[in-house]
Amino acid sequence: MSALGDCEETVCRWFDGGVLDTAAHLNAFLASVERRAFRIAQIGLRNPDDALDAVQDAMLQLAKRYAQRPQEEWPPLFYRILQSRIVDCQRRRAVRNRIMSFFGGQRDAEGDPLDPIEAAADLAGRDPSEQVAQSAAMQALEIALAALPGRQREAFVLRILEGLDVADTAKSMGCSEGSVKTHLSRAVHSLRETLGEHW
Amino acid sequence: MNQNSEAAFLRKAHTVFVESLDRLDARVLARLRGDRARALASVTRPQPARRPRSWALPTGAMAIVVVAIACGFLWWNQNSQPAAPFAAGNNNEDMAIVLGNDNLDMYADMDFYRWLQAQQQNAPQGDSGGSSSG
Repeated sequence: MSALGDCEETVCRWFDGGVLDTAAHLNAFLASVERRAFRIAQIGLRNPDDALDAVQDAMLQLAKRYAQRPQEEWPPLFYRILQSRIVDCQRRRAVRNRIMSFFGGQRDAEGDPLDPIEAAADLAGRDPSEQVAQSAAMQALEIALAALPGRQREAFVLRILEGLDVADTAKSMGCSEGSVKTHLSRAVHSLRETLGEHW
Repeated sequence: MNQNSEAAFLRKAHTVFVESLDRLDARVLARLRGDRARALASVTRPQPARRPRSWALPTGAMAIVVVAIACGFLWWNQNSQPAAPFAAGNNNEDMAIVLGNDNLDMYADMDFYRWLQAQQQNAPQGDSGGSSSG
């Protein structure tokens, strides 16, 4: 059975439990944000598998803990969980890289040191087939976003790409609305400088 | 002019981002749908209001009765027991001595006073008269 069928079956099973409304609304909400959430996680993590894991965690946590909360609270809660997962993954990666560099760098399956140029990940985290499909403009934007400080990237992604208002962006980032505006202003300034006028 | 170009930049960023969503590959989309299904399946049902269980009332009443009986037994047992230091009837005299204001040394020399009393009773009348006149 397809995953979509699984969703419908789950919703139908709740008919007798009196939580159909919540399940249906949650299903609609998650369906509306899952692609954008994946892209946002991919921009932050530069790896599609890690991005999928982060989105999965965010969905599960929202459903388990906050499904009974008012629906208007879901977007900031969801993106807050997602941002938290992204930051966790980035920290784990930083620790792993530090440990690997301490023990003399990464090695391939045959024990030879990896070629750093060959092993360098694509900044946008895409495989070649995806790169072909991706527009040049989006590639440039992702690379420029990857070079931003984390908080500036969060503010730009949530406010401009996802389209949250200032209040929800502040809730998602766990900071004041003034901080959101400051981070966003700096992010826009940096991105425009990086991408140039002809982007 | 600058604000216009910034607004155009932001619009383009949003448009490019939204367009990129349509180019996600099938593997990613399938994984996202599967994750959504798992998330929905994990939603906890709201718990119905609890009704008192059928066995709760008699069990509670029984427990109360048992506790009351135990308390009553302990209380009765405590009141019926004589106070230990004052219980023995033979000791009433001793307690009277202890609680009295008299000098305890006098009781310690009680044998001497009894002997002295016996000497006085056994002595001839003349001795007692002589001693009283002397």
